[in-house]
Amino acid sequence: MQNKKLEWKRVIIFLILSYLIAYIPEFILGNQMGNIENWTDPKLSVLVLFITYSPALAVVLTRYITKEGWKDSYLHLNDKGNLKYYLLSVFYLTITGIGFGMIMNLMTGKSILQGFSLIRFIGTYLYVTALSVPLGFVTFGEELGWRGYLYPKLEKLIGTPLTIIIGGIVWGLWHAPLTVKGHNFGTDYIGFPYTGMLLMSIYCIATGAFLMWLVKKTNSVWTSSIAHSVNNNAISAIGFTIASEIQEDEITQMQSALVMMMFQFIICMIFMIFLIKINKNQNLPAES
Amino acid sequence: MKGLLYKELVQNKAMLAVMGFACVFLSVALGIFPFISDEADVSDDTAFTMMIMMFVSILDYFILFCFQGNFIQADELKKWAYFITSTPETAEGQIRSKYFLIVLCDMAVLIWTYVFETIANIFQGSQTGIISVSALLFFLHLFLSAFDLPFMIRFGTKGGNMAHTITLLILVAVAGIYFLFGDLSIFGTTDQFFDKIMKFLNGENSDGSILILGLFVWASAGCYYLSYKLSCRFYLKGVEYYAK
Repeated sequence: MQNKKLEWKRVIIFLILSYLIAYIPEFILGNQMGNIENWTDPKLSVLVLFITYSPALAVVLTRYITKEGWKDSYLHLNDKGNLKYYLLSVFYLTITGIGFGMIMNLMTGKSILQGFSLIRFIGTYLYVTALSVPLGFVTFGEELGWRGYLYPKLEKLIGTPLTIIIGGIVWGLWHAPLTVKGHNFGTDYIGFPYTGMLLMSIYCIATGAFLMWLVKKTNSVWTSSIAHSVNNNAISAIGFTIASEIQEDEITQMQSALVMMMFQFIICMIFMIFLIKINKNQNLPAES
Repeated sequence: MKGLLYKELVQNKAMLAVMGFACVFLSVALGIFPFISDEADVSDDTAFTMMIMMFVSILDYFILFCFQGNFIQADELKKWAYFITSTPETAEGQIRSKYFLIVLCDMAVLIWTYVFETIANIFQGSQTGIISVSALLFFLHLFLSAFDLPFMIRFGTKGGNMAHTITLLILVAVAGIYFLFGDLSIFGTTDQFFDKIMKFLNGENSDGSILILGLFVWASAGCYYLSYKLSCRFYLKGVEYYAK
């Protein structure tokens, strides 16, 4: 009971800190610069790194404030025997890019592989996936906070399915100041910005399930950092290699984001089932 | 591996500090160049800042490439080699920690490039984006190390460094001969050359060149892994070349 109370306290402190550290600069920027397309000042890249590292910073502060120490930090690579999960973290989410490109072609009245160049596709695919691996250091901050701290704690407190849903919503809402300024979906859509925030949360629920599965399998946030980096850097590049003939005015940002999210949702939700299965298997000895 | 990696960090802390200082010093020294330049238009020129950033990144990886032999040399003791082979970690753990330390240094250079580029952009008001170039150099360094390290492990750092130096000299000589007598028209003028780089950074590459790049980055990672496997096999044979 005492332990549960302490864990809740840690979760709340972590959430307050990670939101505060990210929201304050985002609100200031939003007020000063308007929509995201105006955020071209070079000073912003410092803030972007600061914002993306806010969950990591929150973990450090929470562990320090609550005297938790660094047990279960998920910082180890644990690569021995886990090569398949590392490979999966690099390649699995690229399926979204492929599906996204094909659907985009169909949506704009083109044939499924119109203008497709196999050489360009293979080259881009290999290049962007490989580069996403070392660039995982950018997404590491988020992963250390969400998958390395919040998700495991929530899972102990509320169980796996609720963790995936609540964790995803928390992660999605953390992006809210950016969504309000047109990140991911633009500003020209029905129900702006609330629809965008809702969609972002749904997207984060699905993607979070896959990333959580990776961390559970390897006990390392490095796999999820790589997968997150692939998600940020590779998916749209791969998609637009397939949908190379689409012009900017043929499709809105919201439409393309929706297609991408729909695909990602389908390929990631499988892992929610896997996660519940893992949890059941782990609980078996305790129950019997 | 954790313990061995910790040992590497403690054992090589002086070398790591020197390398870190060299990278930071060179970056800052080159980074302030646009400010002290007499040419007024250079100080706010994005292309010029980009050139400096790329040069800094290349230099940082080059420093790492030159000094990485010291990580291997630090353990060149027959007693240590036989001892570590007899532990559960075996020679594989020993080599693994060395290879991993080099990747860690590579990551540090990549992160430093990102941070330094950001700082430079703030001061110069430019908007460069060379992180993808730096990531490409990351793989180039892995590729070169993949050939360099097994030599050092098989023939000791003395013999390995000889091969290392000869290779570098050959490369420099070939490049020198090419730049003196070769066809330089493919580079075009300085402006054309930078146009090409800008196009590359904006993703405007030909199908063939993007395929070569894609294959190269994965081949580099593959070569580094094979090199590790080869080094594990060579480790005890290389002990014969140790002085002590």
